[in-house]
Amino acid sequence: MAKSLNIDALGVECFRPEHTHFDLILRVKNKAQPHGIFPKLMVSEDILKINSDTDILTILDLAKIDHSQLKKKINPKIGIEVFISSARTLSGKDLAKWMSEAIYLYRLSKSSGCQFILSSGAKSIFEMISARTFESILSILGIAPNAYWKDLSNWLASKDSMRSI
Amino acid sequence: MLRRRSKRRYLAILYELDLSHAEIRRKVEQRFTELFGNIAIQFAYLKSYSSKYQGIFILGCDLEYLEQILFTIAVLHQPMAAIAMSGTLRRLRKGLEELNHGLNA
Repeated sequence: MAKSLNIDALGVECFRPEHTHFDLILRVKNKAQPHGIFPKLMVSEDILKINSDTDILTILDLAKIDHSQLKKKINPKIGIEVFISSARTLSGKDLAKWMSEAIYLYRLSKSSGCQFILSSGAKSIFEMISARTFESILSILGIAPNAYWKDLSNWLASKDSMRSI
Repeated sequence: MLRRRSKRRYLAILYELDLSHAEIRRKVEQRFTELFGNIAIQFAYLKSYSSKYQGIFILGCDLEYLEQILFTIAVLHQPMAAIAMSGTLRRLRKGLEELNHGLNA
């Protein structure tokens, strides 16, 4: 399915060993979690719990961002992740606010040197988003898709914690 | 003045089977109007087409509104995914056949 959506690698929270024919990046919430042969990224959903091991800060609800905390806690190593799935349930007006917050986060990540990450947040194949659709979303948010993919690839390549064991 | 026919794009949308094609089209139109307005929905010239595959809905739109349509599909309440796209219906259907073979292989 992911191949047909032109997606090279998937970020997953768990996997079955028989799914090894595809590039997976494990999203783990604590260091001790077993991760096998796949590269891993430490994910946190709480701004206050960010530490030196955190790779990604996932913002589940864009309407409830604590901007001052966010500015204090982020560092150039970190990726700020936004789920598109969280926008699905919003009304038109709230979705417009979601877009404006996403643009704010993108600009903040640019100015602070961290990485903005737009994720599908998919929990089923129906929620998966193709590369072409990602590019449309980025364009509508005023983000140049080529620059975004390039920055994201460089950021992923630069992560020390993406170690395979 | 020459009249040029506007270019179209055809999208194959994967959806959960509990919805009818009419419902999907109505949901797409409703969300699109909510986000981009009544004028845009008229100029997008949305049109639905039959598909021989269960769970696949084909939607045609004006090329100029493709970005907005893809965005709309990504933020629909009812999750659905645009899995293939083409400039002609015939090529899209051929692409779907290849995709189906690939998934069944």
